[in-house]
Amino acid sequence: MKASENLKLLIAKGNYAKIKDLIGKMHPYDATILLKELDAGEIPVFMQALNDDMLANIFSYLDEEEAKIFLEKANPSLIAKIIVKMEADDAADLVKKFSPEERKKIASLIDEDAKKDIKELSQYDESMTGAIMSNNFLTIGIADTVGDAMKKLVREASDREVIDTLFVVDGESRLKGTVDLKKLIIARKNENISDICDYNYVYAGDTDAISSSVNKLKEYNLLVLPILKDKVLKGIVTIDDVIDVVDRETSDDYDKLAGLAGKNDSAIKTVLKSRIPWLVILLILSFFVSSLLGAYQEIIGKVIPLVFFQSLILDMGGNSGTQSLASSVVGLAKNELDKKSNIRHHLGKEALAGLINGVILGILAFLLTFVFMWIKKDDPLHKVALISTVIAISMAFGIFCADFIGSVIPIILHKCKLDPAVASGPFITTLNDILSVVIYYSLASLILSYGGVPL
Amino acid sequence: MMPVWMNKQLLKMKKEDLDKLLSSLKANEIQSIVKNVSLSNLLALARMVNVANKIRLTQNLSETSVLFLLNHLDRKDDLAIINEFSEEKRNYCLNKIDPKIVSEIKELKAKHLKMHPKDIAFKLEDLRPEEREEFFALFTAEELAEFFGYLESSEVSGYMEALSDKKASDVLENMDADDAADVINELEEKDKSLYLKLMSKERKEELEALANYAEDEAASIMDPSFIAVDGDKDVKDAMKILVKRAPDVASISTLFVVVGNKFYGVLDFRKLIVTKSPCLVKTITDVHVKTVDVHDRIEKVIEITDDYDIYALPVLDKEKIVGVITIDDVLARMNTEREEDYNQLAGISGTTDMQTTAKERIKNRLPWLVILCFLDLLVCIVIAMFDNVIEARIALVLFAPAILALSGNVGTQSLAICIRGISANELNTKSKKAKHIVKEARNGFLIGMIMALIAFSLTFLYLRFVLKDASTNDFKIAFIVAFSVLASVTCSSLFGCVTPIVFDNLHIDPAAASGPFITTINDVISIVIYFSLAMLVL
Repeated sequence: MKASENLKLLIAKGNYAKIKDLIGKMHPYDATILLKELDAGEIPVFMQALNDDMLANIFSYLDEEEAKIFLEKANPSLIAKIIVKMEADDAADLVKKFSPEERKKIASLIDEDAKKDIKELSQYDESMTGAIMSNNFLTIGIADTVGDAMKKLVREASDREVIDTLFVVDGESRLKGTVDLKKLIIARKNENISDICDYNYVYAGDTDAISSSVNKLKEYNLLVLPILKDKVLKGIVTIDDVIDVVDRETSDDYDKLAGLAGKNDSAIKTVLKSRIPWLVILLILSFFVSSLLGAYQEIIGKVIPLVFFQSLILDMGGNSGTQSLASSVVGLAKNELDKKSNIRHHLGKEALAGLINGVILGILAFLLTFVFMWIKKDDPLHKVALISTVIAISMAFGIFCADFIGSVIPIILHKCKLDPAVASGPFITTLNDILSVVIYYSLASLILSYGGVPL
Repeated sequence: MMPVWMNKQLLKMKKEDLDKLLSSLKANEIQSIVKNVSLSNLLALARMVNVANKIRLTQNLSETSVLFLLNHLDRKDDLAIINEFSEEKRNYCLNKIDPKIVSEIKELKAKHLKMHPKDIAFKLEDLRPEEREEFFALFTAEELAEFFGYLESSEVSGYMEALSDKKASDVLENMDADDAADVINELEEKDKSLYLKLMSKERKEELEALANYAEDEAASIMDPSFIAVDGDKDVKDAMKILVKRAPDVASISTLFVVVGNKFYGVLDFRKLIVTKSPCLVKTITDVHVKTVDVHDRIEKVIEITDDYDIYALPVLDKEKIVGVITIDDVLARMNTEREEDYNQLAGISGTTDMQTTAKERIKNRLPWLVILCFLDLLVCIVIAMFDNVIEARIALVLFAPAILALSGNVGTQSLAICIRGISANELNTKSKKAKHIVKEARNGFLIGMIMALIAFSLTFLYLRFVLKDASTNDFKIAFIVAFSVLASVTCSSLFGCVTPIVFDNLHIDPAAASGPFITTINDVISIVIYFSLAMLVL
């Protein structure tokens, strides 16, 4: 029998002890999956069967919106109990989801300490490191001996999130250094913490941008990053939080490249919300291309083969533009394009790559289109050569421009403090379409009339 | 064997020539020089030559000669020489030479170790090759191994030639096994076998075992050193093992419990320190733990670590634990995996960073573009087949880009959703796949309807009020455009989700169905729909 069916059966029977037993053996993440499969009527029984610790643990694996949905029907005292047991950062996020009245009611049921912690964390802006930090860390005094520290470790370790690194502070909670758990275990009891302490630690400020803290933790290979405010240790950011952040951000970028907005699943409502807006904008932009083409109707009517290859020029520009766009967006996301010299370097390389790709593909396009029209035998060879020349030059020039635009636009958006990933694939593609149409048909009228083709 | 007078001649040579000569000599030839010169001449020689040669001259010297040189050369050279030695020999030398010199050496060292190891590591790329040789000489193999842990394996392999063979192999001995295996992979065959020969037997076996796993298998990023304890032992014994093994492992916060050669579960350090003896390790072990098989895909590892917040994931071969994947390695790998997915959607192979040269960028992109160029030619051929229709109604041409762009983008959207679904393991059964395809078809139709309505109005308004060409039947053309939008959007949506599923079933990476690829295929379909419809209606 599947675990979810088993659970539903136990809930129907009201067998609290067995429910608790079943969930207790499970990882909290697995419990969230079961919880999501329950009907609204079954949830209260489920919650009653478990103790506050278990619930707090399970709820910390849900995102705030999901957690809010499950807690909506629960009574405020249960909510308060769960919130107190949760990590302060998760609790602060969850509390934000409730209405002001509900919040007041919950707040009145929480003890002062927890309230202070939550309040402190909820004052941070969503993009600040303070918003994702946890205050569940272990400190030892700089004046302590290894023996003292070990005693404290034994006393407090079971409540702490990450214990690989212990934070050494002075009397005023100012961070002085860190001690590896490994080093502490090997050290002799009467050694001083100040002697085994690593003073060369990495930290972030509480108001620093989350992205910069995430990068610090990644680059320095840390499991935990201390967060300071005026040198005082305020909290820690742990690597599992960072993985969540990276997961969310990379998925967002991916969606934007594909022209998707917000959450994705196949439900009609989300489809309409996440996919349609982009497509409508895109369709309207495409009609700009259409009206632009209208201006070239005359030449199109006289030299029909130009139409055959129009989509080739447009597509290739769009494709290479998307490539260079992606490379700039990734560069920005990895914080590699923060220095002026780096940007210049990057753009230089992109331009060179665009130029060479353009020339190679231009030559290829010349050969392909020439052979194609030659076989088709609609036009004299002289005209075929001219048309192929138009295509080759437009292709080379179009790819070069598209590459450059694709790599520059995300950087400009970034400079204007906008999300560079917004310049999504579809957007760049349409922009390049407009450019390519102008290049293609202008070149066509120029070269063909110069080459003596009646227009 | 070199005659004695030759050795005297050496001192009269120009510095550059001398360096060149020594570099070209074999180890036994250097030996014979060293044996035949007086200590004072050896000192003079050592002062003249570059770092690499200083090291070569001093490696197999007698104890007295080494101490003599250390006492008389400058501190930087002293460091270069002793950093080549084993820790034991190094400490021995430091005990024997002038204490004043020792403190000066320590001071010099401390000056260079002031920065965080990562910051030192990131500075290396700014150094010129000669500078790098001198800089590396300031540090021991252990220290260099720590710096290199922060760098990409391709960078590290490039730095290896600035080290003597022995030191390079010592560095590989001291790095994390998975990182060292990656570096070895990047080396040339000749260096690879040389370094492997110089390192300890255990390390060599470890690295060779890791090299057997494919890059996308879980075992390729595992750390083969971890603390294993017997479940039938007492907690006190476990604590003893922990203290003894602590220096060799990355983290001690998780212990891995084994019962009779089989993996049993994990023991949290926090639980261990609060448990009083006597108590069997087995009884406080968590047995409901997630594990992966050596051959599992990395994507699975990333997913488990992300979902369950696991800091050290056990890797099993059959039922035996062979390694551990730590969360920091997962994070690093997650970044590259995600970047690759992203790039693939954009039609780029591999990853790009600031070091990637224009040539490599072209190499990553041009093949895709050439393939796409040929695919696009297919679109051209299809359009050309309809040249009669086009000649009769030029206005039709105007709306082709809009239809193509729209169907291409719908296709990319449903492609992205589907690839995400596959990599998140949400589409793992036949029925789920079928359900997803049906849903996407329905969504495509729905989106198509809405877009068709908009496209109809836009086309109609444009033809009637902007183009104002009496010869075109604006109503009919608007109808053709709208209907083509509906049909091609539905098809693209379906195609965008079916292709990766088919790829997945054929065990091809679904992400290989890149955005541009799907777009071009959809172009062909859309063009056929559009012009056939036009031919039919007009």
